[in-house]
Amino acid sequence: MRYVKELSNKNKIVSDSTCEALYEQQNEAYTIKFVFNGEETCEINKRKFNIYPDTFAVVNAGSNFSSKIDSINPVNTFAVSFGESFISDFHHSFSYSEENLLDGKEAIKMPDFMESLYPFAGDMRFNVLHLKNQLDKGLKDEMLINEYLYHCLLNYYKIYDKEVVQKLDKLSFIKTKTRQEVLKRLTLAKEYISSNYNQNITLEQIAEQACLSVNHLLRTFKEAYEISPYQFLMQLRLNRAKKLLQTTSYSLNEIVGLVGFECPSSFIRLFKHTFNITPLKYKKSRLN
Amino acid sequence: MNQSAKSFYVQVKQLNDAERYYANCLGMPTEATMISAKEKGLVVKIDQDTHLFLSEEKHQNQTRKIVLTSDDCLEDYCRLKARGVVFKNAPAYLSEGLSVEFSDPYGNDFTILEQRNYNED
Repeated sequence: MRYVKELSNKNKIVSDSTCEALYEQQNEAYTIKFVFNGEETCEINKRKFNIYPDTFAVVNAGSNFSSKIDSINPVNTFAVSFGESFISDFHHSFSYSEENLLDGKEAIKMPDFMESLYPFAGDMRFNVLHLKNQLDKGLKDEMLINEYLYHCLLNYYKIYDKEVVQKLDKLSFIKTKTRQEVLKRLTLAKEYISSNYNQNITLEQIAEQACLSVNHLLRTFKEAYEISPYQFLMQLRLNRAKKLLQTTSYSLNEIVGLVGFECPSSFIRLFKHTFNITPLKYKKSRLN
Repeated sequence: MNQSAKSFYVQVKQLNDAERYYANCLGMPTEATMISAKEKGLVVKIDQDTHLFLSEEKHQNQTRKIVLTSDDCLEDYCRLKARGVVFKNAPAYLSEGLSVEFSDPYGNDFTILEQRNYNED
């Protein structure tokens, strides 16, 4: 079921459930995109990545954006866009101290977010799921919808701080510009891994996508994220396999193939090592 | 606000005033009751399993801090705000979830807490 909710302050929510969709245009407003099941292939300013249920994507106003859904099962997507005054008010009050705000010191700049994939977890997940459930039930109260959207931004700013600001600090380059550039490239590496997690990808391919040498990628990735690209890939595969065990009736062998493992025994060993439970026992425990 | 069977005993200045506040302002159903053989009281039904027992007299088992668990803190916050409840703060994130606080006119402090399991799969 598709619905579009546009509020009087120009905040907008679009929820859709579809097997096929193709969308291309300049993004008018700051948008956060979620996928609750399946995947959506996106392209932002010529960068291509997939949004899965454990990630969300942020698109700045004015960016060229396209998305594609091509799936046997309906993919449930949810996008929230923020009106210009709503986001500038939020950004202003979040970015400046109370003292500056009281002095009326003006430095209102619209935010420029790092357009990428971010982990969809914690409070962001709780709040967005509440909002979606309420809208699915027909919520009309704009005050409540705006409260959810305010918290959505609040949660995103925290995630941005953790995923971007704190990662920049971890990189050992002296020049800020170098750190920013390296983080951008590492983000490309993460997007590539996340979008191709079920393929047989190599370190060379990841490095090429990130425009970094293999050695540089290994060193800086570990510096920023405290794990290697390979460990990041394994974590993704295991977590997504866990989700499939929870939410689908696929057999273990099917899941092993779907998340990109070649051999069931190494999957079972890694799964048990990571979660202290075998995949089948985990599935049974979730059924109970 | 949801189910975790709880009863709170709370002192108020005047039962009539309190009934107006809890029923009209907070929108919670109230019912007259007897706290003891001689003492009148008021039951506020917050949900199926959570009740407040209001009385004018002071008793040992009374509390001034009441934690109401919620399925959706923002929903409860906006609903009560629209009814005129003045909150002490905006909804804030704690390690156990999202919460917001208000006081009734008699100085009893209420916390609405939406417990969130951040380790859940």
